[in-house]
Amino acid sequence: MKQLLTLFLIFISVGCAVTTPLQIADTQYRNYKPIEPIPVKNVEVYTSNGFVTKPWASLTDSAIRDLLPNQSAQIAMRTNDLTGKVNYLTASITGQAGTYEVIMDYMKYRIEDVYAQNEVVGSGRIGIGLRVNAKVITNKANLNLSSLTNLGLEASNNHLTGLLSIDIIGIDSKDITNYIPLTAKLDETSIQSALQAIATIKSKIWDKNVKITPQLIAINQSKDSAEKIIKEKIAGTYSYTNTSDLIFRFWKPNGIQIDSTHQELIKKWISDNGLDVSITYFINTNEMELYRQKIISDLKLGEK
Amino acid sequence: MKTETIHDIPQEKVQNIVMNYQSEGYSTKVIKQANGLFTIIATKE
Repeated sequence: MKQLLTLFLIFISVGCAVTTPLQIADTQYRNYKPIEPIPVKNVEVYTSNGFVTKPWASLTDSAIRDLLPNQSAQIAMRTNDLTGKVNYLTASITGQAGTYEVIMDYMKYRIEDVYAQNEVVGSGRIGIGLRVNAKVITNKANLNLSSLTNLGLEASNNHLTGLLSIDIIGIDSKDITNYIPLTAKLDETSIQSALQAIATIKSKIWDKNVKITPQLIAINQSKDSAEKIIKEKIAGTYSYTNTSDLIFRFWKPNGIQIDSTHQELIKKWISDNGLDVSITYFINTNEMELYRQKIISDLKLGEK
Repeated sequence: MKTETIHDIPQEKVQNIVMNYQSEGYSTKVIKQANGLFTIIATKE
C-alpha cells in the first residue's frame, strides 16, 4: 500500500511538472536571430570585369530577386528575465506562465559572412520578408506556440492574451499596402486575417510592379556578443545626408574651424539624449540619422 | 579607451572624416576594404 502511494505521488508530481525549456542569453545565442530591419547599401555582384560592389538601388527588381536565392520560414521565441535582459528559448514550448514574444519569419535572402581579425564572427541574412510578431502573456505553463494556428487555439482557450502585428519587409506596391491588416488583438479572427495577408503578399513577390528593397533582417552569431559588429559590417555605417551637412555646418561654419559654442551645444544634446558618441560619428553614420533629425528640430538648426 | 568604427566610407570622404576625428582628439587608423571602400577606426584615451 505504501509503495502504491509513493507511485501515485510520483505520478502526480510528474504530471504537474512545468517543463522549463532551455533559455540562452541574447549575447550567447548561436542561431537565427531576427532583428529590426537595417538598410543595406551595397552588394557584391559578378560582371564581365569580375566581382564588383554595386548599390542595391542601382539594380533592377529582377536582378535583386536573383541575388536573393534562399528562402526559409523560421520561428524564434524570446522572453525577458527579471533584469530585463532578452533570453532566447530553444524550444517552441513555453515554460512557466509569463510574457513571451514569438517571431515568425518568411524570408527570401542571401547570406553574408562577417569577419573580424581574420575569423568569422557570424553571418547576416540580407533580404525581404514577411514577419509576424506576437507578444503574449500566458496564464498557463507549457503552451505550444510553434505556429499561428496554435497561438489562435491557445487564445481561444483563454490560455493567453496579447497583440499580433505583421511587418512587410522590403516588398512594396500599391496592392500590398491594401493587403496589410492593421495591428490587432490576438484572437482567431486576427490570425485568420494575418494568414490570408501573408499568403497573398507572398504570391505578389514576383509581380513586375513590386519594388524590392533588401535589408539586413536576421543574424546568426558564431561568437558571443557579435551582434553589433555583424550589423555594423553588413549595413555599412557610413552615411552623409542633408541632416549631416546641416549639423556639420553648425559645428564647423567655415568647413575647417570648430565653433566652440556650437560644439558644446551639440555635445550637451548628445549626452542629454543618452548617447556616447563623437560628433564625427554622430554626423557620419546611418545609425544616427533619426537622432540627427531630432537635434535639428530641438536646436532649430534648420532656421539658423 | 573609447573606440568608434565607421565602415564603407568612399575614398573622397576619408580625409575629411579623419580630420574631423583628429579635431576631437581621436587618433585614427584607415583600412582599405576588399570592396574598395574604407573603414576608419578612431580611438581616444
